[in-house]
Parts: sequence; structure tokens; C-alpha cells
Amino acid sequence: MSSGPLLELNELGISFKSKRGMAAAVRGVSFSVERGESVAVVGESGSGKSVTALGLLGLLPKSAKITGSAKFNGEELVGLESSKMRAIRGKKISMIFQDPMTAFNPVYTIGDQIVEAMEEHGTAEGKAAMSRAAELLEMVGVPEPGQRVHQYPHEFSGGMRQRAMIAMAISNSPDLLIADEPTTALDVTVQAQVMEVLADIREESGAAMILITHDLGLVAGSADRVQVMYGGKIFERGPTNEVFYNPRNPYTQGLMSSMPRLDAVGERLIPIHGSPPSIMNMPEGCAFAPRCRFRQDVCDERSADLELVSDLHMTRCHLTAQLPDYVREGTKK
Amino acid sequence: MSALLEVDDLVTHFPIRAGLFKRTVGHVHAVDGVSLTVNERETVGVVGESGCGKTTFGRSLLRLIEPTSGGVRFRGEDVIGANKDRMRELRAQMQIVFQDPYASLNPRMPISDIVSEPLRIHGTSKGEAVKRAGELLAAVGLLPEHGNRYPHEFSGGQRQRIGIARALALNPSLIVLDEPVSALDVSVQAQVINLLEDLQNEFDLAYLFIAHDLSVVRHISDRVVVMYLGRVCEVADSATLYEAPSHPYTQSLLSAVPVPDPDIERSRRRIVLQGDIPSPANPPSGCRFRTRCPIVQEKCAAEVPPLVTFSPGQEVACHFPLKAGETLLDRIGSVDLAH
Repeated sequence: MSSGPLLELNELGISFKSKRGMAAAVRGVSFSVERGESVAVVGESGSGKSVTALGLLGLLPKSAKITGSAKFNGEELVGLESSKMRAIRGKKISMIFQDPMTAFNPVYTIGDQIVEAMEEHGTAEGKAAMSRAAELLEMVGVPEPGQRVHQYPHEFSGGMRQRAMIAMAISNSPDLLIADEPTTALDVTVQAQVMEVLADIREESGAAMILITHDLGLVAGSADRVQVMYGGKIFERGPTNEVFYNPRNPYTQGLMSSMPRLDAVGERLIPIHGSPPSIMNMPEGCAFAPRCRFRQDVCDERSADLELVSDLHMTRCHLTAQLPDYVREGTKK
Repeated sequence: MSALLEVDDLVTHFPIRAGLFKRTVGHVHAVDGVSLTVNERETVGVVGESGCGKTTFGRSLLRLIEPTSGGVRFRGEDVIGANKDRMRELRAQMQIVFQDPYASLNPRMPISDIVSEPLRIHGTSKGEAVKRAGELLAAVGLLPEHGNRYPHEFSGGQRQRIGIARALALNPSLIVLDEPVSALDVSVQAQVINLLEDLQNEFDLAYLFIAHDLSVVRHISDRVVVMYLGRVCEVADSATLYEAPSHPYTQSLLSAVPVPDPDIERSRRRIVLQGDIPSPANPPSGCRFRTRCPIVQEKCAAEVPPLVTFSPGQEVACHFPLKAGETLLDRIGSVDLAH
């Protein structure tokens, strides 16, 4: 085991072949995840947040071109041959997907699928593996785990399926969990249950987590650090409190002001005009420039670099020095 | 304030058919006795989780789904008893905007035709309809000259604007908005919410705003109706609903919604409800929420709690409602449910 970060992305780029040439979904993403910490990757549709995760695990179609570097425990994942990748995926790094209905195979029981994950990596075999699967289901709060291991995915409710997926993800005691919109398909009361399970599991196992989501509320409650993505790049990053209370990037500020909040009433929302760019039609300069209310000529010419604004807090904007201090806006109706 | 829409004990059941002869073996109790009033120019929010019947309710009162029983009155006129021709006239007054901006617009029609179709159905001449379509597109923040483009040329937010323009075409007084922003990105959601607020002022509209997102519903609504498994748990004005929620389900729902504020999120004592929502095909007896309610008592299984006025502007259907300032956690008094 190396002493560096658990995961270190360096200028990761991912593009897809299309009829109109290469389309870049991820355009130079660098960040690291330390052991045991929780890092959120926030962004809207098309920001590249999910593709980043799929790319580093080698789960993208062959047409995807991946550049840059992604080191896990010091081992390079980009270009890693598939047998070696398989030894890491599901063992050292596990993924929790948004939709547990499509992530499970409908013709095998939940137990069989968790056992398969363990047998693949030699964690447990046969009967011992099945009783371990039941234990795992119990850990994630599935009632009557002894019976439910023998049930099929369709016999589980959405919340229970997502718990089962978490059970499968932790079956080989991974060092890193990647949760891609793990609760987006769930009702809010069930979401609260699943997030609680994830927090308990992480506390017990010490696994690090990358939480990929569009929901800033979830991030506020469960991430140590935040990466805000837009147009395939990181626009702002920092400790969660810094990014929420002192956002320095116009995009992050815009996101915060455009969200209705349960604990605030009577405010008029301040939307960001326009819509997120398509990867087929990315602006030349700063990806956010066409929607930015502070835009200047330089923004259309080139993208800014990520620069430190304070300890550990970085933003990608040409105008950082000129931006007014952020106050959560909202005019009284 | 005068009542625009009055719904009285509306029930919509769907038959469950099975077997060779498709005999009816049971019913899905989608909406089970919902009453509410929407006043002129008012926004009433309907919030609830999947399966609570909020969408069926919205469609039943427009008779897009025929309700099983109950009454709907629009400006005092009986909607359920209206014949086909009268219903068409009434629907000009009561419009709907659907959730999915990708599925609710005909991909083969230019948007000016989509927006003006209601006008032509109601007898407006082609030339007049096209002119009006331009005005409507402008009203929702689109360029009138885009009228000859097709839906696929627009983003999700723009398509939702098109759906809203179509709903406005016949100058309705009430629009049922069924999850109008839940398919949109956060930054685009706010645009559509603001647009809806502006249009309400401009055209004196009343909204029935159906959504699962409590933050959005509370933001836009004057009053909020909380539904669970086909029934109303609580009705309250937006401020009361947040400051003094009385039904255990309302409190749990509010408690489960994450707030984008790290200090609040870390210090919050959250009520995490156990279990899942039961199936509406086989709802629990008595109070529908009793199987998940942390303060359930015997009476809850035996008797259906009626919706009664609890405080001015607040109605609650619970045998043991929580008083103002009292939280569910206080009532439970134990730590194992709270974190």
C-alpha cells in the first residue's frame, strides 16, 4: 500500500466518437480522495460527473477515449488491462448505481448475486458466502435477511433494492465506494433511510466515498469536500463548509441562489438563464460564460485555470478578484 | 376570496384484473376521499411520495381519469355531471401541464401548432391562432419566430415553457401543474418557477401544483396539501406547514428533506421513518400512515381519523396530532429513532 492518496485523478479526459467528431465529456479533471473521506462531485446533467466515475473504472464502451491519469493506491487505472481492472473493481472499488432495478440481474436471486461478487474475488465461497450475504443484508437494514437472500430483485421495493446494492458493494470490504446518484430514484423518506445506512456502513468499515449527485442538500449532510463540475471541468472545489458558505465561482453561486429552500420562504429565486451546454457544442472559452452574469470578453476567449482562493479552496474563473462577496440572494416577494 | 374549484370526497379506484376472463379481483385505492378548495388566483400545492395518489387526483378532477365517486365543482358548476360538449368548454378554463417535457409534446408538430392547437379545437381561425401562438410564446419567454421549429430543437426547460404556453392558450383560470419542474436541472427549475409566478400575476391564474419536492411546493404555494396513500394527512398554509406541522407524516417528510446547509444538516436530529409505503391495492385499515408512524396507538388501526380543523388555516387527519412547537421526537421520547 502506498502512502499517497487513495485515488488521484490527474488531468483525466474522456471523449466519445460521434458523427460530428470527438465529443469531450470530461475535459481535464484532477482531484484526489484520501482514505476514509467523503468527496462529493456535484453537477447538472451533462457536467461529466457520472462519466468520470465510469471512466476510471473502465466501464465505458470501447469508443470512449480516455486520457490523463487515475491512480488508485499508486496503481494506474487508465489503460489497465481488463483482468487487472476486474481484480480492483468490485473488490477495492465498488460502485452503487442510481437505478437498482437495472443494476441487478432479474433472473438471479439477490443472494446469488451478492455471493457471485464475493466468489469472484475469493472473499467467501458456497454456503459460507450465502450466510455472509444474509449478514450483509441485515447490516444494511433488510428485514428477514435469511428469507430475502432467496428472493428476486422484483420482490424488493426500491429502497430495499438500493440497500441490497449497498450490501453487494461492501461485500468485499472495498476501500472506496462510488455512489452515483444513489437515492435519486427513491422517495424522500426512503432516501433518508438509505443515506443513513451509507453513513453507518462507512463509519464501520472506514471506506472512502465519492458521492456523485445533483442534490446540494445531500452533499451538505454527507461530504467532507465538494467538487463542483460544469461542462466537463471542475469549476470549484473545497471543504464543504467553504463551498456552501463562501462559494467563489459564479456558477456555484448561481446554483445556490436558484434553489428553493425548505427553511426560507417568500424569496424570489434568482435563476441562471439559459441551460447547461451540450457536450457536442461546448463554448470555446469558459463553459459557463454564455450563462454568466459577470461575463467579460476574456471569458469567451479561453477557459480559466483552477486557482486557490484560500487554503484548499479553488475556483476556475477569470474574474475572481473582481467578484462581489457572495450573499445568498433572494429578494422578498 | 371566492372558491374557484371545490373538490368533495373525491374517490378514484382502479380495478385490478386477473385470470383468463380478466375478472376484477381488487382495487387500487389511488385516491380515497380527498376534499379541497382552490380559490381564485391561489396556488395550492399537493405534495406526497410515490403512490400517494397526487397525480391521479389532478387528472381525476379534470376527468382525464373518470373518478369513481365524489364531487368536483368549478365556479359552482358540477364538473362530474357535465356532458361531453360542456366538459370541453369547462376544460378551456381548467388546463394541465405535464411532468415530462419530452413526452407531452408531439415531435412531428412545429411548436406554433402545438401551442395553438387548443385554440383551433375551440374554433379560432388558422390566421388568428398563429398570431396568438406568437404572443403566447413571447409570454413564456421564447422567441415568436421559433414557432416553426420542432420540439427536439429545444432544451428541457424550453419545452416545459412550450407546455405552459399551450396551457395558457385558452385563457384558463386554473392550471393543474403535475410535477412541472422535476425533470429539469436545478438552474433551469428556478427559471420555470419564476415564470409560473409571473404568469400567475399577469393572467390571474390559480394553480394546483402537484410535486414530490417539498422545497419547491412550499416555495410556490399559498397552501399545501400533504397526501399519503390516497388520503389527505394535513392541509395548512405554507408558513404553518413548515413552522408547526401537526401530522406525524408531515413532520417526518419535512425532517427527511435535506437542506443545502452543512451546519444545519450536521446538527439536525432527523426522524427516519422505518419501512416502505404500503401498496395502495391493499391499504392499512384505519389511518393509512399507521404502519410507519412512530407514535401509533391501537385506535389508529380501528378508526379512520377525519380531517378536522386543528388551528386557523390548518386541518389535520390524525387521532393524536402534534401541538404547535411539539416535535415527533419529543413525543417519541426515545433516542433509537432519532439521529
